Formats: sequence, C-alpha cells, structure tokens
Amino acid sequence: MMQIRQLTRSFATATTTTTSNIPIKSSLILSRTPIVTQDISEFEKLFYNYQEELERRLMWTFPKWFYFKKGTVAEREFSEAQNYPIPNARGVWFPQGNPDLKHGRDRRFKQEVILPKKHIESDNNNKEEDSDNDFDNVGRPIRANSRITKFDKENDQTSLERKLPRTLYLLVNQNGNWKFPSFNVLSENENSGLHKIAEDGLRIIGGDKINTWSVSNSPAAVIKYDSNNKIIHNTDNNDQLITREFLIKSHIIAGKFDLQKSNNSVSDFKWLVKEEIKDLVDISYYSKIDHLLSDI
Amino acid sequence: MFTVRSTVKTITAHVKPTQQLRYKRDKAGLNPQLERIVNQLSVMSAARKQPRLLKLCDEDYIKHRTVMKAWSLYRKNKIEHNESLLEKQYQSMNEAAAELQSINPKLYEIANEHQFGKRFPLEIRTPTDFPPRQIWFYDYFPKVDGSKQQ
Amino acid sequence: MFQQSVRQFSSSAVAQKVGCAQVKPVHHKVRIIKKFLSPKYPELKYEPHDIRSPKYKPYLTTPDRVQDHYFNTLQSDLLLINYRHGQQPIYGNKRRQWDMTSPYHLNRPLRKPKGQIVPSPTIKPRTYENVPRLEGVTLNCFVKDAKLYPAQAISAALQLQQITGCKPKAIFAKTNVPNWKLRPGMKMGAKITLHGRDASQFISTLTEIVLPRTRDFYGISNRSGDRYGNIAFGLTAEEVKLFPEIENNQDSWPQNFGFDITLHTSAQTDADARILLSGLGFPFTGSERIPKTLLNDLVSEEEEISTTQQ
Repeated sequence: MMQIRQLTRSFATATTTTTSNIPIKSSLILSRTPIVTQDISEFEKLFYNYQEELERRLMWTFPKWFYFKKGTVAEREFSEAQNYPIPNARGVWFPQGNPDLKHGRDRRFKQEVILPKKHIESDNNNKEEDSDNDFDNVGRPIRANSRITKFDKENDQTSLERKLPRTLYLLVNQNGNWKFPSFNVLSENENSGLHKIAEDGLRIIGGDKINTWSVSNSPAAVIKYDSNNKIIHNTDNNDQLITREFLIKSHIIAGKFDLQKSNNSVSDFKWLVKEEIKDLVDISYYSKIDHLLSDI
Repeated sequence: MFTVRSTVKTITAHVKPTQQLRYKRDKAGLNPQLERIVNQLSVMSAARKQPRLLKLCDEDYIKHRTVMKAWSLYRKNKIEHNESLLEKQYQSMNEAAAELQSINPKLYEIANEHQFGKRFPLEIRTPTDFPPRQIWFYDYFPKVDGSKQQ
Repeated sequence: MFQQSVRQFSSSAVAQKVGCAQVKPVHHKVRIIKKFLSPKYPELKYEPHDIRSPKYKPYLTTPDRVQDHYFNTLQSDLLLINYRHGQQPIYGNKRRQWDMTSPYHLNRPLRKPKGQIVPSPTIKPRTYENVPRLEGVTLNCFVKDAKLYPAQAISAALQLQQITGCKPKAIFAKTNVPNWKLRPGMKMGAKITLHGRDASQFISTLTEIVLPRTRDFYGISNRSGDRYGNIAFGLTAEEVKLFPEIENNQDSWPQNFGFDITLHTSAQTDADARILLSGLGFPFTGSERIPKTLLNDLVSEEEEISTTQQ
C-alpha cells in the first residue's frame, strides 16, 4: 500500500513538470440549434401523404354527437358545412356501387370533416391585414410565419436568423484561417477547465452580451498541429512542439456574437451550415470536424 | 372492455332509473346521467363507426409493398448513417480525453467530472413547423453576479 | 441430419420429439386459435402490419418533430454529457450460487441476491450504443370514486382517449379492503401506454401547452424515478382541464380526472433519464440525490497503477 502511494506521488510530480510547456488550445464549436422542423424530401412528402390518405380511409366515423349537442347553434352550423353523401334508395342504380351510409358517412370512402366557415380565414384581404397586426385581438386569423426569412433572401451569413431548419455554426477568421474560435490555455487559468476557457475567450472576441450553454466539460475532439501549424493525422507523433486544440461543444441560447474591434486576431465571423463550412475551411481541418457537425 | 350492455347493467344497479329500463337502444327512455354514459361509450366503441375493409387488387397490393419497401430502405440508410456518425463522435471524444490525460492531468480531471445534474436549458426547444414572431432574442444582458453559466 | 451415434442411446429422440402428448386426449403445447383454422376469414391470418389485415393501421402519417429533434440535436449532446473517460461497469446485485453443502442444491434455482429479492442490473459504461432514448409514456388514471360510481371509470377512459387519441384499457382493483368497500375486480379507471408518434404528440402538448400554463408547477421532482430510468409524475384534475381537447369541449366535461404519467426511457439511471427529459422540455425542480456508487465509476488511481506495474 505504502509503495503504491509513493508511486502515485512520483507520477504526479513527473507529469506536472513535463506538461507545463506543452501548448494547448481550447476551441469552441458554438451552434444555433434549428428553430423550425427540418425540410422534408419529395419522397418523404409523398409517402406521408399516402399514409395519411390510408389513415383517413380507415378512420372511424367522427362522433359529432359528442362534440355538438343536439339543437345548439354550433351543431347546426357544423351540419350545414358538411357535404353529406347520397343515401341508398330502392330502384336507383348507382354506377359505382350502392352507398353504405352509417352516421352520415359512406363507409366505403374516407370521411371529410369540414369546419364551419367562420373558423377559417375570411376572404376579405384588407380586413385580414388589419386584424393580423392587432395582436391584442384573440380572434384574429391564424397565419403562419414564413420559414424563409429576409436574411435568407439577402444571404446575410452573419445573421442568426438564417437557415431556420438547419443547425448553424460560428466560424471566425482567426489569423487568416477560417475555423472555430480557439484560445490559448495559459498555465494560470488551468484550474477553470477547458470549457470555461473557451467560453471566456468567446466573450473576449465577441462581447459579453451572449448567452451560451456548454454541453459538457469534456472535449468532443482533438486536433493536433505541428510547429508549422499543419494538421497532423497520424496518432503516434509524440513531438514536444505539437499544439493540441481541444474542441468544446456549446449552444447559443440568446444574445448575439458581436465582433470586438479591440481584438486583432479575429477579423470576421460567419454563421454557417455544414455544406457551407465544407466549402470555406481547409480540407484537412474539415476532415477532423466533419463527423461533429449535424447534417440538419 | 367498455361495452354498452355490460356497463348499463352495472350502472343501473347504482343509478336508480326514473322509469323501467326496457329498451337499451332507446336513448329517449334513459335518464340524463345514463344517456351521457351511453354517449361517452359510443365515442370509444367501434360499433357503427367502422369503415369497410380495404380491398386491394393484386396490382395495388404490390404497389403498396413497393412503397413500404422503399420507405424501409430509406429509413435504414438514414439510421445507419446516423449511427456511424455517433460512433465516430464517440471515438473522437475518447481520443481527446486520452490525449488530455497524457498531457495535462489537471485539465483532464475537470473535463472528466461527471455531469449529473446537468440540464438542457428550456430555451432549446423542439423545433416547430413555423417560426415564432420574434425569431431570436438579441437583448440579452449577463447577470451582474456572473452566476449565469452552468 | 440427426446422425445416430453408436455410443449414445438415442440422439434423434430429443430432436424429433413431437411438441404434444400423443396419447388421447391430445394437449397441444401451442395454443390453437380456432378462427385461424376456418377458411371463412382468411384476412385474420395476416400480421397486423399487413395492409390486408383488418387490424392494419397506418401510423407514419406525419414527420415526428420530437423524434427529429432528438436525433438532430439531443442524441450527440447526450453522448458527450454522459461520456466519462475510463468509465467502468457498476455490477448489480445478482442471484448467487448455492454453496453445494447439501445434495439438494444440485439443479436448484439460484439463490436470491443479497439483501434484495429481484436482482439489480449492471450499469454499463455510456457509449454510442446506449445513448438514452424516450421509449414510451404510460398514463394511468385510477379513480377512487369509481367504486361508488362506476360511470366515472368510463369517463376517465374517455378522457384519456380524448387526450391521446388512442384506445385505453380498463384497470381493475386488485385488493380487498372491506372498510373502503373495495373488492377485487371492480373497474377503477383506465390506462394507456403510448409509443412512437403518439408519445411524441402527447409530450409536445404536455410541455408546450399544458405545463407552462399550470399554476404552481415548477417542474418534475428530482427525487422522482424508479432508479432505472423511468420518471413519473402526476397531473391533478385541474391541470387536466388545460389539455386543448378538454378545454375546447368543456360542456362535455363537468368532471375531470387526474392521472399519473410515467416516462419510460432507455437510460440506465434516473440521473441520465433526467438529462434526456430536460432536453425534451420537461423542467425539473428540487435537490437531486445521486447514489454514491454512480459517482465512483472510474478506474481508481491505485488500481490503474497496479495494472501498469504488472
């Protein structure tokens, strides 16, 4: 037991002496998560439509007697809005087979439940716009906002409001290279941890009016650079001059990245999706971060 | 499980009907409470609400099979791609942790702390089909005491 | 295929054994469903997912946005959050071998685990293969008054059906409590287990419409959970009124019934499950208690050195 204790001590002292001069960097993968649902492909759209039609065909008849009390105005309005199928009658020939009605629904087909007109948008355009902007009016027509924003149309890559269905990543032009913002780890702030160093560094280059949530204390990946700032791909290169850059994942929640003029190392920034990053950054750098970026 | 006949029988033992219950189908003869129960049961039961069975001809059936097969292949490829990405992410975080352990034990210790009690912020929401009126909240100010970060 | 060995008495006897007694009356080991024997209803022989079966129900009708959010954002984050370098499995309390002091120990089922009856599972290191997922949601609505007013069990079932859009199952009293006039077999309410799109739909209504509007709701208790990744909480009758299906049809609901919600996750511990559920929009409150065994799941330093020495 005593021997082991001594051993641990000797190990610890050995590491502290050797590690102090190894250069380490902490880099931040700051992402904005999608705000709207992902775009679906044409195949998916057709498939979902097919399944929905099948579901409607196999659905039970709508029990209107439960939702609309007999003799009420709501019931009358609802009944008037429906297109009731023609019932079967003796002596009448139906070319597409005899109707099979139960509770006002032809059991051979899907049931179309039509809402009364007043619940759907009114036809008058002028009135609509007036009531649309009147946010205090609870009864204003429901109109969905556009999934494509004006920043998409302008292709403003510094905006957080572009590409709403996709994950955006913050890239900066640091010392002439487009990459995730990275910061040197100095020996005096080693006690705070890599994630804290990266978050603090972000506030130095981008202002403190930004709210972020770092996913974990542990790094998601490591990139090794040699003394000429070239990325090393082979793993067993134990040179003392290797710079190791640890990537920390984080999400932006509120506020914005506002490039500080006082900082000389960072000249520009962009919020980009995966494909745009692939076009912008160095190939060897992209090969190291490819799997960390979300496809959506 | 919830059938009209069995429940009317059990319930009539507790609810005293105003008149003799003779015809179960005749709602007019039931008291309002019993009528409501029959109404509720009719919503849940399949009786008189089911559509006719689907009758597919051979060609339609083969078409359906083809569509479902195409979908399952599409899903399978997507899932496999997702899993391979996840595996790569795991390998890279493993590599990073091992690297950090070998060069700087102090940073490694902080990085390797357990993350129990970590919570996703409520601001990261499930994406909706359409964006909100205010898409992004820009006017954020850090709290004075500096305790905002987790 | 079944070669007769010279040394053995018979190897084919076991392999070619019929699955039922051959002496009359024959008792089949496989239950025979008589409707399948009849040629009258050929559709009944199909699997429920076959479109020719009367049970067929298409369920892939819309994209599932909760599931998409999980796969696009949460899954890789959860992998990173749960990851610890050098994590070791925490072995559960398993059934024990008999010490063979008695000849009767031979072939006896294994001994109970120490200090408990059911063995506890081993908690494996978190890797890309076991990232926690939401597997299902169970709604359990037990109505106390249903013993006096059986109609309330029906109303409770319909309420669950309205909220979830799925068919509920009745639940029955199990115990006999003469003081409460409770006897086994009384219908006491209803329950549903939701999976897939139905579960996603339910939790998005819950987290986006119902919970933000409930009064005095600060979150699910951090003490809730069954230790192995299933978190439960309850909604009162007042809170149930906030479901849009109930709220927009208030005339039909003079009375509402509270119910318990269990969120089933594939997480191995409650602490992992809570991180997942917070990502799906459930707030948590209160202090969290984490078992000591979970905190020390790394290789201890002394062990590590002793292994390197060898």
